[in-house]
Amino acid sequence: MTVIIIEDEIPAGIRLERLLKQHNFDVLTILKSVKKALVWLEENNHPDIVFMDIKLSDGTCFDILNHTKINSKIVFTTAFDEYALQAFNYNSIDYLLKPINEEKLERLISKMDSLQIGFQNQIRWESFNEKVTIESYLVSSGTNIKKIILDDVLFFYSENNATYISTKENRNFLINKSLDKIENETNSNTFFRINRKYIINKKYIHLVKKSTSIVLSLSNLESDFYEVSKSKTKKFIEWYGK
Amino acid sequence: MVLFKKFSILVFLPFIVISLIEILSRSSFSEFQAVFLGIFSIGFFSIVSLNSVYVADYFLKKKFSFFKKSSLLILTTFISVFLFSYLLNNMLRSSDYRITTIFSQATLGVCIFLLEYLVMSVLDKKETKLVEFHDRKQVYVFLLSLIIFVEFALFFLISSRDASNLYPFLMNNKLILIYMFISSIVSFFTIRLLTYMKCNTILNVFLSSLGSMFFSLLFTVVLTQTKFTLNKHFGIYLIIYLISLFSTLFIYVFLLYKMQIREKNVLNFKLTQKNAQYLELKNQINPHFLFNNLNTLISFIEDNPQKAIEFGHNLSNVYRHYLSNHTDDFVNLKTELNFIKEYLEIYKAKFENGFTFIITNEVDSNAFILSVSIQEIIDNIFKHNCLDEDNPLSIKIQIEHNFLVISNSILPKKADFSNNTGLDNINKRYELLVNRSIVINTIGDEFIVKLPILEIES
Repeated sequence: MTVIIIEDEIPAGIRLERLLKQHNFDVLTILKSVKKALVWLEENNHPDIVFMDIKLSDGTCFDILNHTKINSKIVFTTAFDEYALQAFNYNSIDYLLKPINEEKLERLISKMDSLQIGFQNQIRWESFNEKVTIESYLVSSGTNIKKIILDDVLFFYSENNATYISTKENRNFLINKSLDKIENETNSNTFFRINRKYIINKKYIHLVKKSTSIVLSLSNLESDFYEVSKSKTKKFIEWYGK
Repeated sequence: MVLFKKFSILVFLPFIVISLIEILSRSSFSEFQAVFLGIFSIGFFSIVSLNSVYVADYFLKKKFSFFKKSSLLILTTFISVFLFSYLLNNMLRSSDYRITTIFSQATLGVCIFLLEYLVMSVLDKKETKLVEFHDRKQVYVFLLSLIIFVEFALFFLISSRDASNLYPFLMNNKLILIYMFISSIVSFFTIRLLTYMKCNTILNVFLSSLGSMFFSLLFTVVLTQTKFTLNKHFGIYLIIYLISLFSTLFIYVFLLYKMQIREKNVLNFKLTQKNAQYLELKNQINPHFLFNNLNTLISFIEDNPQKAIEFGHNLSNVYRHYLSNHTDDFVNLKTELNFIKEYLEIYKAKFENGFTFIITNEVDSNAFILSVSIQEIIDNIFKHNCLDEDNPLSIKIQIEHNFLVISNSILPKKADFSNNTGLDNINKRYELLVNRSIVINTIGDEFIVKLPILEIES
């Protein structure tokens, strides 16, 4: 089987080449940059497998995938890319962690036939550098822990420097995260930071009123109104209309 | 001086109010009654205020538990008022008093003491925050029923003679009972309304009690269709107002108390977070760990390349773990044990036969544990025990009855000193987050730490 390695660090490339040769692969070349990889793929027949590192000296391997169609099986290698790893797991795409563990490499080789070829049509590679949003939080509840699905969350709020989750059962739980962090890791289509103190769930918006500012109520708390801060009004309307 | 100021206000203000009320409400006054009332109310309020100012100050400085402090305070107040009332009645009215009167006066003393204490602690607080209504509805229903019960019990104690009269007493005082019932509910809602309108503590209590009195009176009159005449005895208004004031204060104190507990919990919670994050960070950048292990790695490269590869993998996995669950409180036990295995493998590579370890495989994938806790315990073991090849240290990690049991043989280092801060911190986090404790035990020559395993509630 023929293989190429796209890897910018020389020793890492050499080690992978050696490991692959031990398993009777024919390593055609080691390419060190996005530019060189694109040129090589343009001029040569595509190999059976491409091993590619995510971070390269002049960009990421996703730049290669966006510019050319590769008719090979692709295995990603990475040292530490949190978001990409989450995305790989989410899409069940194979990858190897660096330092590359021989056992894991063997396991991957043994199931070589099941690896997908190409796959740029189904996948938006740009999104692999973005975070994957969280779907639930673990909080303490009595003497045990409770999993709170974000779908059941009315809103998050902060008070006296602490952050709480308020659920649709109207219960509040302390959570060990700042609102900024929560805003960052929750789905921005569903959750919106309406002001300094609240992040609300679109699903439970019951009523939106516009007077001097926008206020809204969440379905089972009709008496309470939440004000959208002036600076967020425009963004809010955009988000709410989506 | 501040204490004295409080004390004089608390003695003379009620004295003046009571004298005014008495003068206004009574047409004729015998000299004896006036003297008795004067002495009694001055004495009564000085004793109660003495308790709520000086004695309370004395006890609060002591390091007793909250429960012990409050019961001691209430007991001293009760006894001192009881003695005072007993002596005064003996001296001045020799015969026509009953023990129940003294008893009820002492009870009243305790109530007034509590009231004064509350007012002072509210006044002492520099920043006043609005109370919150975050609890479940049942809590408030329970609170209101409790108030009605306490009010009735007090009313019964103060006015009635003995328990056999309970039924006729109930029948005679239907109106008061209905009033109590309505006033507690109305007080609750006026407080809620005024809080919504952002009234602060003093104004809120004052307006709520007045509002509660006015509306409750109105409701009672309308509901029971009693004929109501304004020119009734002034004292009855006082009693009615006191009932409303009592309900209002009771509710308000409860809300303040709840708020305080919540604030305390939040602070503790933040503290544990900071602790855990500190540990996490400490692990991430621990230079000793990193350079020692790089050193080991280099020496393996020279004389055992295969081992160097394994060691490098373990090291990289351990660091990957450090960097992955940075801020989560709860981590999956299975993942955590995999990490611990690799962590121990690093030590194993360095100390070879200096220790042995066993880690259980039977882990439920639904089991969770507090982050960093196991590693902290392992670090503790290595910190306090010798690694001797002739007598290797043994470490076992097993599961027993919903506890993760980490045990090791004791081979103490010479001149070892431990203040157990590591274990204390883990325990504190367990208590604050899930209200459970870890178990620390020495059985024979084994040191055992048990960590509660957490499960996700369905």
